[in-house]
Amino acid sequence: MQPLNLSRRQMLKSSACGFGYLAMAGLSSEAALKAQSPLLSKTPHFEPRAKRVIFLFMHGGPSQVDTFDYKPRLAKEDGKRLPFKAAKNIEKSSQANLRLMKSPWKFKQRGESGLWISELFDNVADHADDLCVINSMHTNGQSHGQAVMKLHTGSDSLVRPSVGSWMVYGLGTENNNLPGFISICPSRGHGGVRNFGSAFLPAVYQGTAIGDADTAAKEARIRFLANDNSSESQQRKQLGLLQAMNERHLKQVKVDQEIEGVINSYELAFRMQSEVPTLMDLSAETKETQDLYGINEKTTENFGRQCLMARRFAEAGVRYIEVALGNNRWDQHSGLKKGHERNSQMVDKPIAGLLADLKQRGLLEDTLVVWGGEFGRTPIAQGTNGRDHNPQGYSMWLAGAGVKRGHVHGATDEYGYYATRDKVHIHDLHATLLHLMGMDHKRLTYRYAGRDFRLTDVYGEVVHEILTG
Amino acid sequence: MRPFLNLSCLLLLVTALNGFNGQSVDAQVQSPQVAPQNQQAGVEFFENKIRPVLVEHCYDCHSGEPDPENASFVLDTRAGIQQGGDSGKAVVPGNLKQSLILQALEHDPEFYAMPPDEKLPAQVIANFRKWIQMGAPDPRKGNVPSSPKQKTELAFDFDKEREFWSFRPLKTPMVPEVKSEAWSESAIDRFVKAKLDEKKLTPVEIADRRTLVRRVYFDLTGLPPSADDISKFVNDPSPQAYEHLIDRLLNSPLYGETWGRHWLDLARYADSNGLDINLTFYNAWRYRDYVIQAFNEDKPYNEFVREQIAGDLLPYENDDERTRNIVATGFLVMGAKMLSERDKEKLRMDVVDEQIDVTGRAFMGMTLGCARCHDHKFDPIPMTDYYALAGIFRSTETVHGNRLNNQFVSGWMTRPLPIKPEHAAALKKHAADLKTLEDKLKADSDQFKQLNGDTKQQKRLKKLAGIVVDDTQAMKTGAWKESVYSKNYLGVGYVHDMNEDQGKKTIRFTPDLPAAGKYEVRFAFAGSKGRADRVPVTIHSLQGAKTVYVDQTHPGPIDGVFTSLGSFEFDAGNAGAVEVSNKGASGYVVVDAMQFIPQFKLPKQNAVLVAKKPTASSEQAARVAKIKTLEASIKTLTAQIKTLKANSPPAAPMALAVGEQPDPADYRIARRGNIHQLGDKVDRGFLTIASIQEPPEVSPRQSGRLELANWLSQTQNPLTSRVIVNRVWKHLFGNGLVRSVDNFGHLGEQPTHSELLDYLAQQFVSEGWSIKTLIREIMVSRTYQLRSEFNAAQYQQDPGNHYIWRMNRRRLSAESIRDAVLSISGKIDLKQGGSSVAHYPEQAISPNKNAKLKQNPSEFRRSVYLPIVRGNVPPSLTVFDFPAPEMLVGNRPVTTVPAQALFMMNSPFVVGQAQATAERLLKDSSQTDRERVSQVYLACLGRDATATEQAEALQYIDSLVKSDMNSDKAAARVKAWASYCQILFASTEFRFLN
Repeated sequence: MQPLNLSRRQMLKSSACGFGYLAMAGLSSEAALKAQSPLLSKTPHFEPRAKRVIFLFMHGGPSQVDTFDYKPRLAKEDGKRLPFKAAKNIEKSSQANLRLMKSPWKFKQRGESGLWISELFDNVADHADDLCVINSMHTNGQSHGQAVMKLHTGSDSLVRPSVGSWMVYGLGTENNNLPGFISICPSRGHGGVRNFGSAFLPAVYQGTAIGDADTAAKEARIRFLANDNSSESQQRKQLGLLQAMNERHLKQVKVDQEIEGVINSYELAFRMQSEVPTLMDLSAETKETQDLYGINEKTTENFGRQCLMARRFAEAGVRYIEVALGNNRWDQHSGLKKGHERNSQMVDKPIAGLLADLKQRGLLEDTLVVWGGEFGRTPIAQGTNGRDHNPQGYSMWLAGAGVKRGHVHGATDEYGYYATRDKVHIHDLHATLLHLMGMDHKRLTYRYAGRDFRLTDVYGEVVHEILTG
Repeated sequence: MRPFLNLSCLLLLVTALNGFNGQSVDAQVQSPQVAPQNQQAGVEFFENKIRPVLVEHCYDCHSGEPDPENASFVLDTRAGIQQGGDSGKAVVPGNLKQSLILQALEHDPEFYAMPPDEKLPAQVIANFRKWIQMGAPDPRKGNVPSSPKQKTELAFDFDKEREFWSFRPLKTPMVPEVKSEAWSESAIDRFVKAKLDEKKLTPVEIADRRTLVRRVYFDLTGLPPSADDISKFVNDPSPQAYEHLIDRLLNSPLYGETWGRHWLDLARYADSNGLDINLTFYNAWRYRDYVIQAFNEDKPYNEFVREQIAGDLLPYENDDERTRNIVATGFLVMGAKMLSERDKEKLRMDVVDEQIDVTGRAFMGMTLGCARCHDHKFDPIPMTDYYALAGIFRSTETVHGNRLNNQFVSGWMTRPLPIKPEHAAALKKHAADLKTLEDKLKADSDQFKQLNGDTKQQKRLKKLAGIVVDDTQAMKTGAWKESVYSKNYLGVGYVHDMNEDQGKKTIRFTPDLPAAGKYEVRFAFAGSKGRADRVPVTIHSLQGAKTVYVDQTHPGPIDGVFTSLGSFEFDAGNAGAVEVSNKGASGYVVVDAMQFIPQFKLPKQNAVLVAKKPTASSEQAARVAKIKTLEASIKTLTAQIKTLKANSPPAAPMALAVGEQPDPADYRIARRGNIHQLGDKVDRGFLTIASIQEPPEVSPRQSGRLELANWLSQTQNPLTSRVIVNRVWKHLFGNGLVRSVDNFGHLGEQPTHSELLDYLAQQFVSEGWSIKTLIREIMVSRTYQLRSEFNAAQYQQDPGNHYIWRMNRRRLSAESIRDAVLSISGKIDLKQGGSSVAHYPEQAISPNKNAKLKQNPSEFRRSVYLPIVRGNVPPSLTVFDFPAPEMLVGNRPVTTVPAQALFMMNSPFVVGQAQATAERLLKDSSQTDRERVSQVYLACLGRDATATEQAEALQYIDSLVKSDMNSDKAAARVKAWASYCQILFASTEFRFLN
């Protein structure tokens, strides 16, 4: 532990060399934080493999045994009893009569790598050789709220900063005219804004929402980005006088970093006002690209727009972009067949389009794409055509910067229920994401209420096995 | 232990084995159960099957030195494996149950999963089992290295720790003498000046009255002074003008709204639960109003503390006092709870943890959360202190009942508040009247539906084969509640047992069977999650009584409604019966109908089975007439109910409040915070470090909250008064004397003026814990009245202004910015108190419904009264650093982000209020534009516009009017003025306080 009474100069110096000190010094670093933009691009702990992350969040929990975790034995023993104890989230009452339920979808081996992927993701399957599938995910939280927050913040019961906030806190932003962390159409429930919130980290690190899960992607906007009452030239003029008054105020008070900061923030806001809508204007893309994402088809339009926006933000230097298929859509306690089919139809093509597009632009080299829900679903039936929550074992996949391609890591048991081999807890995934971005999850800390907090709390191991050499 | 037996075995072994393979004595002592001839086989088994697994999968962490953080014990020696860790012994030879290593290998969800990333193959685990049964032969030597944890169990030297500044007993320090006369008047000034002198810093001059009046208004009322207020004060000839101003504002109700809000930041006040099941807190506002009132009445702070921890246990003289006392405990209920947590014990302890955390930080500036898993690493807080408090809060009822009709969703405590007898009587009468009407309506509606026979469910019932007895025709014992909640029913509805009085309720179906023979009995119920899983159903047939158990957690397999109970022989007539009971049921028991399907061909089946339809025309006519009467009656009743409801007496008031658990008890240390790994019991109690006097003893029949409340508010508690005094200082200066206002521990900051802090704390306590007196004392000091101007020489030495050579320039709070804008536009609604979320749905934000929140009726009320729904705090507040209402925040960060600029430039709120301000300015047609500029300057910035500013304003407005081609002149003028007013709202001078 370093002493806290460093001079401001030392503080600035050390904070320029690494945010570790800023993180450590907590309150004492306030002055340093004020003196420079907290979003200034910062040097990571080590050479990063990824510059940015696009997280495709499948809210509700897609079923692993119907998508990326092929279990022939489940099909063979369809309707038979589960030969071992079910997890504790399954009511005791039904424990006696648990029946395995095979996947209604066919699995095929795909690409050179021969990854098993079900027909729900036929389009994504075309990129099998780019995927790094983790079939041994497990997490805490039997209910959505817990698991969604665990996935987003590392805690299933307390308010903690979200992954994206930690990333921007650790790395700053690459583009000063844009937020460093954007969440496109996030769900309003199951933690809602907490899932992209900064909790005790300063507010500048919170995610900026574009619309919400109840808004069509086409209508999604960043709040207060436009003023319908005034034209651009009027606003420029208004800003001109405002800034003249602010400058005068500053001159009069001589030195005040906060006032200076406010003056800068108006300039930045004005630039954002023109830059963000341009970025969000998808008509600038060729029809070919739009088609790639399925924007011109009814089923895929919405998620396609979200994915294309994500690519454009990634290109423009946003660090962490979350794209949500929100409102708990994957939660098929019943109607699995219809529900999962509908959901996959909405996202399969856009995701495949995103992967193809990132690849053709060379962006997949330094962009990490992450796909998954808050948990998976049971291989046993709930009712006649449903599956219950399964945090005990499920699948997520990564693609792009720094991760192996056409690779499968870990496994569940023969039925796809419990993660058994090379288990990856959500804390491990978080540690790995930070690692890929060039940060040591044990060193990325922030002091709050007398403790140095981490995204991974006291847990987490980097999953080195999935990283490229 | 069986020492004698072991001893005798031992001797045998030692003799036998020493000759056998020459191993030392200690190698065999631990394997008493192994017969000598098996020893070698056992050791071989260990070497072949066990040791390699331990080496490969366990030694990485569990070898060498134990590490209390990761692996508190080692598996690389026999002694280590048999001693185990803080959960117990890893291996107990011959005892599978007590050998915890098996639980870990099995990845028991209640225990540890080892190895963590992979469950070993079943065969390997079977080998471990076999090995343990063999007596766990293990030739490995070595001692158990002592765990560092045991070393720290020496714990803390509290006497030494009490030398730390915040734990020291309060003493009145000497007030230093200073040379300057201007700085000698108040003790505060003398402390501050002495420090400045010591640091060779020169304070700036005191501010002018214009600056002061704005500062004092915002600090005390959260609002700017009006033009009148300013001129009154500036021109007040009295030498006491400043003191009078402070006294007047301290007596304004606006004071409580502003300072109450400071406290609400600590109380993580919100109008909804947040997290996953974001239920509306319909009663939280009472706590908010209680806090505001407490500040306005200047309730002594020690009482304020006591009431929030244990108000419900305090004596009272009248209903008002009782109400306040109960409402105050809302402090403990306010936290965000993971209501859907299925492990309810974990939920309970998570809530306890949150209560300990906020109690520690809000009142004592102590971070106690660390001690949930281990002794605090920096502060003298042993785990035992944490669990002493945990026992108190665990004996307090906070989580209570279920919500959303879902057994997995917990609720929280609400308590009825005292009401006047007349009110109670009126409510009772109203409820009775309503019930009479509703019962009548229900009866009529049911009859109407029966006669009409046209609901989907009724049609379905009719179509059924065999003899069907609906729940309406069955004989009920105990209270069964009628319901149509699950739509999957037959007839007019179904009944359930309300999940209570298990074993006391039955419902008996007696069919009138047309012929003797074998019938299949099918039981209809709307099965789903949350229902009982083992409902006993007894069939009384010719074969006697047979009880079968039915699982109601899923819909029945036949048509999604029926579950077959089997086939039974019955006589004709009504001799047979089927009885459903709720005995031993866990969950709701639901009952809809019983179907008896003959397994033989009935003679003249149709004639017997089809219900007799009234055919005679007289009967038919009577039926039609009856339907008509019923229809009329239903209409009248519906209208009557509506009227009655509209004229209902005010609802019985409820409060978010805690209560006592019926079985208060000490709790145990949860190893590493794992509530399923409980260790030694800890007596309920308080923080050792802050117990200077003998702490009060906890009554075994109570939770201990009352004692905690008394202990916290004791004069001798070194933390309570220091912490609050520092908070008050912080709100008046922007920084505390201790800058880490929520952390008075070793990781917090040191006080810049520790003697001043102690002086104020001491003074505060001796003046009767009066916050107003304290505020006044600080505000009349010269220190508070300093200007905020820059001075290069001082700045160079003390850029952070730690020694208060000037007043800090402060950004207005989110509330002040919003309220100031509203007060300048004239739109502000100063109504006090009351609920802001009465119109909200039960789930303030629902995870998968698309309904957006309704328009907020309190749009122009002061910010403190806006609905604070977690996850949906008004943007006007969040954008300016209003804290996340799930968290205790004593020191809001002040950030500068573009979102604030966007809000000022584009939000409908600011645009709309600028427009309203413009309209207000232009209303008085007798004013000149010049006067208008002066007026709006005074309102926004508390000063007159300079000549340059006048000219600039008029020119800007003029040019906008001229360039506006779309509006008529009057409209163009409003628009132009609005644009200008918006600039003032957005200006740095408006947003900051000098």
